[in-house]
Amino acid sequence: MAAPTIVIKDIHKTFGDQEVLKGMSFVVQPGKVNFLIGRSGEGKTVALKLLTGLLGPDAGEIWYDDLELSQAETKDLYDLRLRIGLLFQDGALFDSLSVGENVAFPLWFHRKAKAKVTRAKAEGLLTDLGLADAYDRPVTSLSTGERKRVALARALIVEPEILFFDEPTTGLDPLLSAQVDGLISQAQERSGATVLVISHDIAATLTLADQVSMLYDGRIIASSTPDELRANPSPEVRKFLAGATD
Amino acid sequence: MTTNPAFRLVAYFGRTALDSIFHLGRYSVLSLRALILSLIPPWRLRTLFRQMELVGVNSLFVVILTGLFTGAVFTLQVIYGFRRFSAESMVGPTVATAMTRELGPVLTSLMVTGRVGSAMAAELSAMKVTEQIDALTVMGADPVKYLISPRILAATIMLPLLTAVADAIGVIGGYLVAIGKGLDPGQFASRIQDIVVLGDVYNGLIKSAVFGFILASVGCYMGFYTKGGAEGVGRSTTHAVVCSYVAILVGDFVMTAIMF
Repeated sequence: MAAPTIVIKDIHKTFGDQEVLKGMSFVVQPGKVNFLIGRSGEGKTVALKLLTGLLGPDAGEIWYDDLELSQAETKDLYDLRLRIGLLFQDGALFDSLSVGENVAFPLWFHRKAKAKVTRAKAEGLLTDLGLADAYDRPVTSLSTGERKRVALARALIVEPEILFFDEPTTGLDPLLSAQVDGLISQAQERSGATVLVISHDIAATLTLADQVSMLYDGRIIASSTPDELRANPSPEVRKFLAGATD
Repeated sequence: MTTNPAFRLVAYFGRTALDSIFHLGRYSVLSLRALILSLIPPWRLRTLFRQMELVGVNSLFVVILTGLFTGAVFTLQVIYGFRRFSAESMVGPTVATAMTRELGPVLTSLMVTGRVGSAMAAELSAMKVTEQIDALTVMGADPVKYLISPRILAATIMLPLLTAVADAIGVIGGYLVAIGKGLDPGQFASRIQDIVVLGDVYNGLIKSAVFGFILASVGCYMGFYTKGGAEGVGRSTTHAVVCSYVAILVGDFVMTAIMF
């Protein structure tokens, strides 16, 4: 199956008396690296949870090609999720499992491959990510950077057509950030997946992105290539590019 | 908002009642869903056996201690009371009946709630606040089937087994105390055979299976719907224990009234 086009139309989401998203609309380009940027607290992670069906919108539509998420049957949603890899901000690794079991979990759970094949695949991914001997280590012994890499391996093991990254470089040192950025780029090139990165890392955005959408006050105020974004005269965009990300 | 104290009191009770109905409804839906999903393949026996080990095998020592001392202290009290009426021959049956019908099931369940129900709530709460449950969902795994069903099933299966151990150990504890207090050992045992019926044991075990269901489902419910970071984890764990205790004691009264 080819990487889908994801279309987000006029999404509204309110928590209590706070309206976080006020008509967010944008298109996630298929087979490209897309960035959703915005200041902290703008609702980027909420947007990601809506895109993965973890939350439902109060109004609006999210389309994966011709499948509308809020109208999808349980079976369709299940099938869609098998095509998605998601890297959570803090990794969301299962503490009760070892590093290798975490990486192999999606294949093990869906019984997609025999145990030996699953293990070999997980070990291969861990080696690619610089964690060659980590298979049997408990996840509680990992550093922040290692946790991110293990979570990335878990997201990649099912060879997803859609890859979501929630603040992949937050909390990492510059060296590790550059490494993770490289991995995102490699993952997209290798699989041709549709990638959406939630970020407020301006440098990574301008380097890696094919398409950037900027969320401000619950709406998308710019959706363009990085070069077009640099030339965008909007004061909010200028301020963000100048480094006002909090 | 009105400043009239009477209205505020009515509003408070109304809100509490609505909250209670909401939680009861959501708890019922979650428990029923977990039960139904546990019947639908694929079954993950390794996960189930792991939970059975955590609930059953790892609770064995504390259950043995509870059974032993409950039987022993109850026997002391019964001997003291029955000696006044020269009814020492009834000590054995009284202890055995109390252990199998009431003390075994209830005290075992309360001990396991403190050990396992709280752990289930804490584990699921921690998984919730660190987005592990969201991660499961996004990977296409139903967290209710993967996390909750095996826990409820394991507790429902293991509680009767633990209760049977507590019953037996309690009677043995009572027997040892009775001998120590000069009662006739043969009479203690034979009168149990004469008076205690198998229904006493069965009904006690049925009660404990229900208590197992309650302690696991309440623990899982509290953990699964946790909000608010580390503070939320602590709150859910406390609520899980308190609610399970109350539900077990209320459930015990209802079942006892129906069964015996």
